[in-house]
Amino acid sequence: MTPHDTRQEIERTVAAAAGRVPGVASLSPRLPRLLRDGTARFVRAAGRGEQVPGVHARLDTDRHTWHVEVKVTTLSGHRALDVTRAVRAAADGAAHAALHGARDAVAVTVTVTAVV
Amino acid sequence: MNGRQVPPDGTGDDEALPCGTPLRAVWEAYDAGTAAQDPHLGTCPHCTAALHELTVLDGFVERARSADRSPAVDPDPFTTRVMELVRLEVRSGPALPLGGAEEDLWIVEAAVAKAFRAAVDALPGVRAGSCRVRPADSGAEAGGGSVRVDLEVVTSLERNLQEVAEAVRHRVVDSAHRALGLEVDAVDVTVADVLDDSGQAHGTTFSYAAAPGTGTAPGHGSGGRFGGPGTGGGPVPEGGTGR
Repeated sequence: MTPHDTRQEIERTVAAAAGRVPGVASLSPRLPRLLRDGTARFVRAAGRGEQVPGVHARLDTDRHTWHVEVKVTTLSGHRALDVTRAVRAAADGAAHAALHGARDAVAVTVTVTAVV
Repeated sequence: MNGRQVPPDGTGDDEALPCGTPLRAVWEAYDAGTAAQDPHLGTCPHCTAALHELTVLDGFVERARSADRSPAVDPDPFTTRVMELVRLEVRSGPALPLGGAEEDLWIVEAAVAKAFRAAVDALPGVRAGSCRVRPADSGAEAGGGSVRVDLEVVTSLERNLQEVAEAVRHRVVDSAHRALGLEVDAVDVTVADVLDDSGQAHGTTFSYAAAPGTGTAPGHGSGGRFGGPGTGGGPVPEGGTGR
């Protein structure tokens, strides 16, 4: 499995796990990602695969650490801090599962972009 | 690792186009007006397509700005949704710390301000206006995640302004704790305007400042004024009267 494959699997797995956390309304793509969706035909033509909105994984090769950034929209009635903690726990577990026992560490950042 | 994590800046989304050019570089060239002079950007199909998308986005942004300056003209639902997305992205503000210093959890200022304004609007006779939320200096030094709030309100003269400021402050702190889980270091309340019985604004501005947990703390905080000399303990008008 190449680092790119691993990245995609981490992003997909983390997105699925984060989306199941109570209080999460949706994952939140940023404008650059929305723009990239507009050029998705080039991305796909280059074989880079589908992108996962709201989740971005990046490997720090020096520190052997996967940095996973998750952006979520939360539901009012759920305390944002509790939701982000649950998302981080879910994302951390999902990322480690996607690594299939690899020794790379995982560092998860969670950002609430809106409360609806 | 010690201390608060660095706020996410979204650069993780900045990936290269298939030709290898970072999307951010295309954006910067577009903003600088140098895209047409760049031989690669002018001929590369990937960069050309990205520039086209940016042109479309620029149109949306300009329409959003125009909507701020003129009355709404009933845009269609799709346009409304796209413009809301653009506004959210462009105006989301900095990321503010949630939880402990090591947790790396964040919430954007726009979401926090929206929650605070809604909480204050629930007070009878009070309307929230501009709301700025920034990391508190004391919290940063301690490695914690507290914030400082600057909030403008409009209220009627039927209520004592000091009581209004206290009620606003209480609402903000309560909302921060219960709805968001955000630690508030200080809330500065500015009564940006007052309304008489007919609903007319007087154009007078008063400022109050206090730190949660310290009571009213007259004079606490850098931007607030309260109980100044010669005011008999009342708030200090900032903007004079009349317009």
